[in-house]
Amino acid sequence: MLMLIGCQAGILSAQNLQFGLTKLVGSKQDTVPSGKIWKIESFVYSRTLADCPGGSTSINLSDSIVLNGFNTAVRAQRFAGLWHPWRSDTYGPEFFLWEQKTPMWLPSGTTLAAGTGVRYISILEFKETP
Amino acid sequence: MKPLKCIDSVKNSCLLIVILATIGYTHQVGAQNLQFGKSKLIDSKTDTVPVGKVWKVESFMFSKAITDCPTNTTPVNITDSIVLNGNKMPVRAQRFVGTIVNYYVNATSASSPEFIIWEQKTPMWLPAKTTLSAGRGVLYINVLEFSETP
Repeated sequence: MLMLIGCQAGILSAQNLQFGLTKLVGSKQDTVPSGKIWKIESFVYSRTLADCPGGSTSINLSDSIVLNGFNTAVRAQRFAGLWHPWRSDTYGPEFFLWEQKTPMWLPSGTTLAAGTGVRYISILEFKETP
Repeated sequence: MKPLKCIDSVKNSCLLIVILATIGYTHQVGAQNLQFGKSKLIDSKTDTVPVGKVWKVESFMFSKAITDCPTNTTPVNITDSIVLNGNKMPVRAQRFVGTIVNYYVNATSASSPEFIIWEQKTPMWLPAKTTLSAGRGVLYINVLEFSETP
């Protein structure tokens, strides 16, 4: 019986990520501290979707974060089509929305900031424990 | 006779506990546990899953947003990829066909735009000795490394 309990305890002791705090990273660059790991849970956007275009001008909007100095897209909107103002007619409008999948786990030393169209990046910080 | 039966019953119970404990221990020894090690961002430089470890690919970070709407009749065919064991594997594909026409010039020639995007599902678990790197259009591959512990 003791052996069974010991085995169970062994499984439970395998966890070595300890929750630290929750963060909202804005446009000011922040860095994952040494001995810590960040888990990106979601992105909080500063603008809603684009309005439907009132003509033939297509919409190409991309929202981004800055990861290790690289602009990385996390949401993109594409709206193609033709709206005819005189005939109140449309020709094949097509709206497409893409979003970066989460979670994203960032090792220590990674730099991060919100970019275009992103107000905050929602982060959970974990401490690595042996 | 009654005390003898009681002793036998206790012996049987003890034997049963020992057998169950042995089975449980043996099962535990035979199973592999995964212990979290670290997170990694794999870029275009080839990296290898170390012996005794497994990698869990959580997500891909792309170096470009999806393509802009085309302004002519040329279809868009873009595929982003990773390199897995030396093989180029697609992880995101975009197909955009259709024409955007200025209605002041030719309102009747607009064709129906159609946009489709596909993305590789995650997670992907990679065994030891698997090689991995980011390919076209991929900035980082987000990986969690686990140790296999008996």
